[in-house]
Amino acid sequence: MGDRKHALTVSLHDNIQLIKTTLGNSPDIVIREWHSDRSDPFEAVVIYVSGLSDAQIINQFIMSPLLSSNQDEHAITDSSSLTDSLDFIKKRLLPVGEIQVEESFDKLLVGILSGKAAILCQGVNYGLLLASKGWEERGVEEPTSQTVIRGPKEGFSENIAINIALVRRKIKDPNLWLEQFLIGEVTKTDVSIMYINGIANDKAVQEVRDRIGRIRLDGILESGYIEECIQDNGFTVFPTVFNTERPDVIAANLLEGRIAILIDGTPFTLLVPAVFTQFLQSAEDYYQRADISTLIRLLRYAALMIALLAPSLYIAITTFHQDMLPPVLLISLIAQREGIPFPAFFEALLMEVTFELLREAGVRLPRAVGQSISIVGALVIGQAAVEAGFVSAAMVIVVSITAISSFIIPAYNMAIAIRILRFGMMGLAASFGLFGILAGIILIVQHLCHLRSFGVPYMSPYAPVIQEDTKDAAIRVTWRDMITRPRSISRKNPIRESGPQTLQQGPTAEVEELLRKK
Amino acid sequence: MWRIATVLAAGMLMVFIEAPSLIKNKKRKELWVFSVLLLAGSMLCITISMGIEVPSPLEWIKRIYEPISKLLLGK
Amino acid sequence: MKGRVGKVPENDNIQENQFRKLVSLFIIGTTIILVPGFLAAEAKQDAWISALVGWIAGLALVWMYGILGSRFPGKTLIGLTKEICGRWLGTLLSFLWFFYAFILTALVLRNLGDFLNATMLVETPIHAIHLVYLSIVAIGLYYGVSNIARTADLFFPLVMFLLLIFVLLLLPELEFKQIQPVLGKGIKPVLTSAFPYIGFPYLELILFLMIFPNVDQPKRARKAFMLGTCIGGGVLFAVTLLALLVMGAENTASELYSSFELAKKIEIGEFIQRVEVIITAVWLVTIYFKLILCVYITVLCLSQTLGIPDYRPLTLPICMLLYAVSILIIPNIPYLISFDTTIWPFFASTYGLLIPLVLLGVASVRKKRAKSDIR
Repeated sequence: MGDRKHALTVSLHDNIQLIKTTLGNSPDIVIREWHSDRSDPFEAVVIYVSGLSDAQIINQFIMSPLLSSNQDEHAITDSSSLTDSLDFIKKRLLPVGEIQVEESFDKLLVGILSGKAAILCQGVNYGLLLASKGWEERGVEEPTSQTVIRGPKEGFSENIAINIALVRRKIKDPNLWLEQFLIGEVTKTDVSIMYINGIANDKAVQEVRDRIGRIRLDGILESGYIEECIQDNGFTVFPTVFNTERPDVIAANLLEGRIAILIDGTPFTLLVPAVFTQFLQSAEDYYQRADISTLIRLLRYAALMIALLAPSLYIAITTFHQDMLPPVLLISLIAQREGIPFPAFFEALLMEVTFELLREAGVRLPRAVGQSISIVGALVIGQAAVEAGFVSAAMVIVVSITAISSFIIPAYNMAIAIRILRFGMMGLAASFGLFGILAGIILIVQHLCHLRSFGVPYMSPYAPVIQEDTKDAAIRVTWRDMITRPRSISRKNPIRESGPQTLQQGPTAEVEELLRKK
Repeated sequence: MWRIATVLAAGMLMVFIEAPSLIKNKKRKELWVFSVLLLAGSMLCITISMGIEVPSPLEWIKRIYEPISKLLLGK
Repeated sequence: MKGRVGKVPENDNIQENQFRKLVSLFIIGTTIILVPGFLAAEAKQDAWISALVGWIAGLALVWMYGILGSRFPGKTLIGLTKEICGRWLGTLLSFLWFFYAFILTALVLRNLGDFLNATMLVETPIHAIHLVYLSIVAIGLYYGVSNIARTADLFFPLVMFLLLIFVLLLLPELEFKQIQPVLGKGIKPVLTSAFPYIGFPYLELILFLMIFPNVDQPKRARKAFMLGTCIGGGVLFAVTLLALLVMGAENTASELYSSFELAKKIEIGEFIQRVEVIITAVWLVTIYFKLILCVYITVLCLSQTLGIPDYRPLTLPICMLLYAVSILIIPNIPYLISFDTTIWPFFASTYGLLIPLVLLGVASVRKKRAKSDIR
């Protein structure tokens, strides 16, 4: 690509040539020329991309005033110099909301390619960029991945402006601040961070800015790219950055002092810092009553243990510790395993791998076929395998329960981590029985305790123990008792019901200065 | 035979994990101690795997403390 | 991570409640599977009084260790040894500390392997068990001691909960006449059997002074140390008492792994058998903590004795040495029993009683001299 140190010159013709050649003479770039009747003719040009800009806005609010100014006696023809003319256009003529003066050629191009319209004029070496974005996109729909029974059904869309607006609708406080970045050398994607000033930890915000600023990729197509680049270093399967499609989840986390990262082009927004208990929480926990939510949360933790350990326990008990089972069950199990040629470990491995294949296939299948395949997979293959003598019926049950339990985990990235670890546990169980499982658990716990997300220990509030934060981790106390924000995320503004003295309601120091100067 | 190979493999793995960063940061003392310990450990492991009887350090402790124990506990 | 020699590696802070949990888990460690049997062998039905005596003695020892530790804030055991004794004598003594820690760790590892071999994993070779545990410990050591503390935060409530269940499930089997007649044979057997009990584990706690300076609230560290000893000793007392009440002195003394036998007595209806396998999980967790703390202290001792700021590179070779030594250290079980009851208490007293008293003495004398010099 090279260093484009091109600059706009005063020759309109040269500028147009430069733009055309840089963009490779793309046919979707529209260049509309326009003259005014004057003693020395005033030439100007409007440039936009036909798919990205809204033709209506351009025609109505840009072309129309410009063309009708030809009819007027005064207006542009009165202006003494060409620079004044452009200034006049900018300040007096065009009924468009955002108008920017742009001197840099590169930035002008980026603006045009973002959907803005550019106005260039003969004899002036800068241009105007006008907001005229309008393209086809998916609107605000129900989120596909994180559904709730009770709660708002809005989900983010691919347009970052709409997403920011959705968050602003939830939090109308002036302290909700927004910062924008353009990340990706080639894609130049819009990335924004949002946080509540006065609640979020300033060091964490600075850390986020630094880490995003350090990204040197060609393209940012999804939040996953950013997630991988900014996450804490660590050789781990566990996610340390939380993502969600729901504006209410973002808003709730912003209120706790977290920082949201929105990326143009994807509805999945990131939240940092993230702790382990977050991945086992659902937005719905806060909309249902506290006692129900607590029980369901505890159920999720039980499901986590089942998803991780069920096949391993089966292998361990049937291979090493048969005497642990009541005699009746033992006899039945032995009878089932009579004709099976494989040891329990291979049987379990076979079923688990088959199930993983089914699951991945289910994600990729076109919707129409998906339903039938799942039925085929579950019933036919499972049943047929049992009858053919490949696996025992007990194994099928174990695998099914494992699969169902892993779907209870609300966060997909955490569920994947558990899936991966499950195979390791199976190996340990096959070698050492229950001792192996325990060794595996100790290993995993040790590893989890060592993880950090933007400085916050991953297992807060259980390790290190932060008494007050445990009220919203595995259990959920009623809203009346939720007095403090999580201390591990940010210690600023610890009390939730903030009175005017805790959260900055009046003007900040900078605003005060400006007011004073006037 | 197998056992000696595994011991050596484990030793090499340890070198692989630790030595590069130690050499890069020029930590001579650490490198020395590391090597001595690794050598001693490997030697011991190989000796054990070959079935040779190695006297336990508890023997030395026993020699020092047995008289006191007999005196005070009378066994 | 760099740290100054003799002092705490940076960023490795432990909270005082985490320290308390570490102390308790360390004390319960391997002791819980062996001690009731040892005590009952000598003291018979008064073993519970021995446990009480040992517990109190342990608290006194820890009180002394606390004084020594707080006299030299920010310095580990080796740091303060070197400060009190000067460079040459200090380094010599530091090597002795390392030797003590190393032997202790090898014994702990061997205890673990023997226990699992005898009870659960009869066919697994002992090398494999040692290898698995050492690997986990080695990885844990790379994460640092504050990570060990956080892991303790997570496991401690679980351990306590399961111990409570253990006790509750055995309540129906209690027979109070088992501990009668109280003090039937006089006080002497009680005291003689309490003596090895002090050696294992309380005299080992001096080594905790290697971690003592990591506690982020130094003023509360002594209290946490004492409380941890209270809890640990209390659990051991409870299990000993329970063993006597349920199984009787004869049975307790005849089995090496008495608490495992105790767990076998649990019956949950007809449908779950061999519950002791689940209780064993608790012992395995406490042994894990004792092991990882012992290995950490051993590696830290060596690195600080030699003046190496970061202990991490030494972890792997020391683990290899430990693996080898743990296999050759004990030829058979009777050797272990005789060693533990007759030799270890004296060996441990040198380090846990004698040397600390001397160090404390020298430090106090110097302090008084310094004070009178100022005047």
